[in-house]
Amino acid sequence: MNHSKVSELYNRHYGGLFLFIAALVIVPFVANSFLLSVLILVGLYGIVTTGLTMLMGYAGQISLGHAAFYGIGAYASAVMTGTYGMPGIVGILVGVAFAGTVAVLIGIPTLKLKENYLALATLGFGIIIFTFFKELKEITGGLNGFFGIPSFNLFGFAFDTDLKFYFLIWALLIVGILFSKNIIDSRVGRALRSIHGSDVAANSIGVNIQQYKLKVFVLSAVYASVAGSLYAHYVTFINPNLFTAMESITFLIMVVIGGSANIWGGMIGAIVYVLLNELLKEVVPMFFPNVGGEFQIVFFGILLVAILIYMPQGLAPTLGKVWRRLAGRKNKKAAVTGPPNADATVGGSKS
Amino acid sequence: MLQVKDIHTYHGFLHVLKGISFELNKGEIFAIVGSNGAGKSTLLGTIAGIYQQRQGKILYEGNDLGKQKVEEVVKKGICLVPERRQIFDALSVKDNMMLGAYHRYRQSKKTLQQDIDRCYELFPKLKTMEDRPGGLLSGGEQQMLAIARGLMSNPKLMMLDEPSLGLAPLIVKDIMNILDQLRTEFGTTIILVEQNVKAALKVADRACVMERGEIAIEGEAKSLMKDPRVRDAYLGGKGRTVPV
Repeated sequence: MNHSKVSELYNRHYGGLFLFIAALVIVPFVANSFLLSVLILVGLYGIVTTGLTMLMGYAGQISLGHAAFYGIGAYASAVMTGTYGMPGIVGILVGVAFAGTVAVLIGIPTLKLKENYLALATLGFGIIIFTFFKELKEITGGLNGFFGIPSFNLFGFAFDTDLKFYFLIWALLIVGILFSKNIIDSRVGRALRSIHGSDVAANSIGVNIQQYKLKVFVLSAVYASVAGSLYAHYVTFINPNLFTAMESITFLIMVVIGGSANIWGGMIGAIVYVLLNELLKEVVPMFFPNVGGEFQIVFFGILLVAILIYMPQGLAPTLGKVWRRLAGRKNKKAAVTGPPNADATVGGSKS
Repeated sequence: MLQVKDIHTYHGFLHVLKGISFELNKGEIFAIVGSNGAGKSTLLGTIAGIYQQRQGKILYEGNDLGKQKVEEVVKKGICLVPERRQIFDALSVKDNMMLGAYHRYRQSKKTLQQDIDRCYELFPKLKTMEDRPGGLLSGGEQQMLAIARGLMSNPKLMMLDEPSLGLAPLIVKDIMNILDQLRTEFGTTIILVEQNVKAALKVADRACVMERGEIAIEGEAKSLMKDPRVRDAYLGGKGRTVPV
C-alpha cells in the first residue's frame, strides 16, 4: 500500500476516530468538575441512544419505553450492591438478564405492531414499569427513592472519582458503538436494514423479521440497562421519577437530533442535547427570570421540528460530510505537497 | 416439481383459500389469474411460507414443505418476488441484489459476483446504475431489480406477484420476455400471478383462473386464451364473471 493510500485510509476512516479519542483523553484534564459530570451524563445517555439507534434507525422500530430498561438496570444494581452487598458487576449482569428477559416478554407481542401502535405499546410498558418502581416500596424505596448506592467497583478497582468514572463510561460507549457498527456492517445489519426498508420484501428474501426485531430490541434494552446500572452507581441515589415516559421521549429526541440512520448519531444527539440543556438552564433565566425549568422542553420541541424539516437525517450525516470534505481537502493537499518518494497521485489511485 | 394439495388458508377468521390443488412441472411457467380478492397473493404467500395453511399439503421435489418458515423455504430454492416490487429504497441497486443472496452468506464473494454479473447480463440497465438508490429507479427498472434480487437467491422455483402492475405495455412485454428467457436458458420454474391476463397467458405454458379462493378453470394457457368464459371475463368479451 503506497503512502497516499495509507493517508487516505487514515483520513477517511480512522483519522476522525483517532482525533475523537484523543480529544476524549485530553478533555477531562482541562475540564472543570461541572463539565466533567456533564460529559459523564453524555456518555451514559450515549450508551442508551446507541442501542436505540440500532432499534430505530436500522430496524425501523420505535420505542417510547426505553427509560424502563434504563430504570431496570439502575434498580438491579442498586438492590444488588446496596441491599445485598454484591459486587458492581453482579448488579450489572442481573440488570442485563432482567432487562433482556423483560424485553423478550414485551417484545414478542408488541413487535408485531407497527409505527404508532408500537410506540403506544412501548409507552404503556414504560408506564407499567414506572408504576412497579413506585409501588414496590420494600425493594425500590418507592417515591422516596433508593439511597446509598455504593460507587462502582470492578475486581477491587473503585471508580470513585469523576475522572475514573468518565473514562469507564466513555470507554464503554466507544466499545458499544464499535460493537454496534460491527453488527450493522454484518449480515445481521443488512437484515435489519431490509426490515426497515420493507417488511414484505425482507420476508420474501428469507429474513426472519420477528426474530431480528426481537434480537435488536433485546440488545437495545441491554445497552439501556448497562447505562442505567452505571448511572445508579454514579449518582448513588435513584427514584422512579428519573425513569418516566418523559425520559424515554428524551432518548428519542437525542436519537432524532443526532441521526437515527448513523451509528454515531445517538452519541452526537446525546452530546448536543445534554450540552444545550445545561446551556439553556444558564441562559434562559437571564432573559426570562420567571419561567420554570420546563422551558427547555419548548426549545427542544422547536429544535426537533427544525431538524425534522431541514435535516431529517439528523446531525451525524451533515457532520460526516463536513469531516469527509475536510479530510479530502487535507488528503489532496498531502498528495500534492507530499514527500518526494510518495507516488505523485491524488487519492492514491494511479490513472 | 411442486404439488399443491387441497390447501386451506385463513387470514384470521377469513377463509381465503378454499381447497386449492394444482401441480407444476419443472421448467414450466404457470400463470394464475383472477380478480382482486381471489386469493392469488395468499396462495403465493402460502407456498412461500409467509402464511401457514390450516389444511392441505405442499410437496416440493417430493418433500412436504409442511409448515416451514419462509427462510427455510427460500433455502430450498423457492423465491417470491412480491407485489409492488418492494425495493429497499435507501439501498443501492447492488445492495438490493446482495440482499437477495441473504441466505448464501457461506458462498464466496466471487460466486456471488458471478451471479450478479449474470443478472446484469439479463438486465444490462441495472449495471449502469448499480450504485443508485433503489428508490430512484423507475417502475420498470424497479421490477427488473426485484426479479434480479429474487434470482440472487438461486431459485429453482420463482413466484412473481403481479410484475406488470403499473408498468407501460412495452415494459410489460420486456418483463415477460425475461421470464421466458429465465425458463428457457436457466430452467427456472415460474409461477406468475397476474391481472394482465393477456400478457400472462401469452408467456405461460399452463394457467388457472382463481375466483373467491378456488380454482375455477385450469388448463393449457393457449386453450384458456380461447375459452369463452376467460375471454368474456378478462379479455374484453361479453359477460362479467367466470362461473365457478
